[in-house]
Amino acid sequence: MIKNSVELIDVRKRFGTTPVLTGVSLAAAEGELLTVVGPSGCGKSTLLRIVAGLEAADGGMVRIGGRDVTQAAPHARDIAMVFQNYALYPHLTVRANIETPLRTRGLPLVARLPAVGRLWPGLREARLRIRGEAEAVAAQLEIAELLERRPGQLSGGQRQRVALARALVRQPRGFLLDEPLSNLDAKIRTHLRAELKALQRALGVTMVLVTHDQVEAMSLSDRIAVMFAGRLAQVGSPDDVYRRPATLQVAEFIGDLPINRLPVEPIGDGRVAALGMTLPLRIFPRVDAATLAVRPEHVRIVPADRRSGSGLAATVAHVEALGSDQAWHLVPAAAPTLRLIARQRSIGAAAFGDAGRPVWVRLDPDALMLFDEAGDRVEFAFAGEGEQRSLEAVP
Amino acid sequence: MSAASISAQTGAPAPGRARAGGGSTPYLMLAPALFLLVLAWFAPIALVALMSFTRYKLGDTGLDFIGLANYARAVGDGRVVQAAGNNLIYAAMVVPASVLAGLGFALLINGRRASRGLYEVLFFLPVTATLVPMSIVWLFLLHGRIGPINSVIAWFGFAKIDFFTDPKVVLFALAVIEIWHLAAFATILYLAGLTTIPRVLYDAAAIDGERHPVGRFFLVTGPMLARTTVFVVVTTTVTALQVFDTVLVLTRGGPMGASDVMLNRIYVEGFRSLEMGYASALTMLFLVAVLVVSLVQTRSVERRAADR
Repeated sequence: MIKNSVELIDVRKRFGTTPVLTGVSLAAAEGELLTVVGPSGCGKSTLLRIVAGLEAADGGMVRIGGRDVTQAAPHARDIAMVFQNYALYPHLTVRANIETPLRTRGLPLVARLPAVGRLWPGLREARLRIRGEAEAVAAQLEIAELLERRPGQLSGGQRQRVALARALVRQPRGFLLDEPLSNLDAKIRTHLRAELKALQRALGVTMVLVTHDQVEAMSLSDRIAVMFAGRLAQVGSPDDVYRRPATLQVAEFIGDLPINRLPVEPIGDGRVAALGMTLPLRIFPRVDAATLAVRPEHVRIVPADRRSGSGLAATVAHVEALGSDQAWHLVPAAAPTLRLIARQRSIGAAAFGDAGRPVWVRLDPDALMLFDEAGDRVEFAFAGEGEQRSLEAVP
Repeated sequence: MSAASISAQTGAPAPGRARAGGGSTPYLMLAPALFLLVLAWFAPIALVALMSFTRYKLGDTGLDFIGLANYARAVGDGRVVQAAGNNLIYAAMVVPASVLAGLGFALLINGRRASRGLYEVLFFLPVTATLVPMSIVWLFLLHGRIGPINSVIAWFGFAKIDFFTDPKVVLFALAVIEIWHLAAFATILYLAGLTTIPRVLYDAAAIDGERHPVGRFFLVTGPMLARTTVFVVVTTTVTALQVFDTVLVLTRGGPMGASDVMLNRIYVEGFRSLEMGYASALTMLFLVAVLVVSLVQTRSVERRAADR
């Protein structure tokens, strides 16, 4: 069923001589919540504006519900959009803001004019229907008691709800959300995030959401499209993007603590070593891996006097409290200029967490990632059962 | 909303600091500004108010108080009534025309990209131009016999119009000059107002399905220009009521008082007839009238803006 799909095919865009999008192909399926995530300036907002028709693509095609809308005006695309700053009409009440998309489609121009429009005859039924629909969506979003207020009298979270209501009041083919939560403070953001997800599930609508916040992308999305410099680096499920990043850049962008990077060198026979530690794996067919990456939660620490098996000697630089977890910043003895971060549970971990304390660091073999010079992922196989076990986590 | 946020900021002054200065220090700090305010604004007005109760003529050595006699005389003075009436008719022609033309020009120019700067300069010229020399230019343009505008009228087969000597059209001719002047002024203000409208509101309007330019104007542009419009209407009204230089240079209030206006009346009574007492009374009446008009205009719109 492609009735409510949103597709981009090789979309290109440049502003003057600056390329903004260099051939982006992406599709959100019916009922899917697809998030485009990337650092500021990567072109993700431009991409969304092209889908909306607010910006024209230089090349490529936009399809909504299977229909080519590349040349269509925004109103003809049958989409709704929520803007980062909400873009509510400040002079209109919440009710009038929510009613606007219905009024532009359901009432003739004369009837929409201020003051005189009211006198236009024969539209009583249409007006009542619009009123009812606006009130229904306001009730759904729990803003019914705000209907007569103006946006200036609302909090950020309330404005965001009004903006959502204005988008949801119609049944468009797709919803586009541009950084919908980034102007809210952390608590409301977390709350609205869950609510947005529940709403999208309940209504079964197609949503394309743009954000720079990878946490938001991870927690909301069915699929994530990671974008750098006008190009998609990877499209996949949140889990996929987190566990199997296609490039080192993706690996570094996704995840709230920075991923650990260690230089690796080949030691022959498809084997590689990092800081003198031979990794329990064999690369095929190429042997040009340059970087080993491992997430902080896959770095294990034991006191230096309990060292065992394959690992690295390091000292503790400092310990950062993250609430339920701690981030241990470590200096490997073999490479004092590098820093490793290990995520530890807070409970019981403080026992040997003084700065300067020597520790023994082991990496979860299952979670190792290798990347080549260009930053692309390198595939590998584990060398053998025995060696894999030798690197396993300490109990 | 702005009023609320201001009172929220100033409503609770830091208790320690309010007492710290104490005594006369705050007033001492205010003294220079207060002194200048009194010297430049209150003193002249008070002097004029005082003089309006006297029979003072330029050159007199003493003040001869006559109570409200000057005001009584003004109300019964046919020429004053005519001048005040002319002021109102003039403003009624000038203000709506200037505001609407200014808005129209601003909307047209705002759509330009490359030529916008050029138009802005062009439209600023009448604002910077001194009205007295420009009046001479208009005198030529609208001249009864040799004026090019009359040539055009004649070319179309109509009778030539004596713009500045026909009592029926002289006020209209003066209004045209003022509109030329004030429409340019309004254009500049509206252009500034248009740049403050967030682009994203037009994006929202496009997404919401508003595809008609008229609908877009009434949904976004018009309401967002409300504050600019208050300012433009008030300033153009006050300027229109204060019309004097074109009258003095082109018609001197004639023919037969048909283009006489309040400032010209004050000028004639005060500096020709040297009746400063009477002129002062007229000045006070004019001042109060202008004050009332601008207060009513600002208030009526501010009240509407308040519940936004």
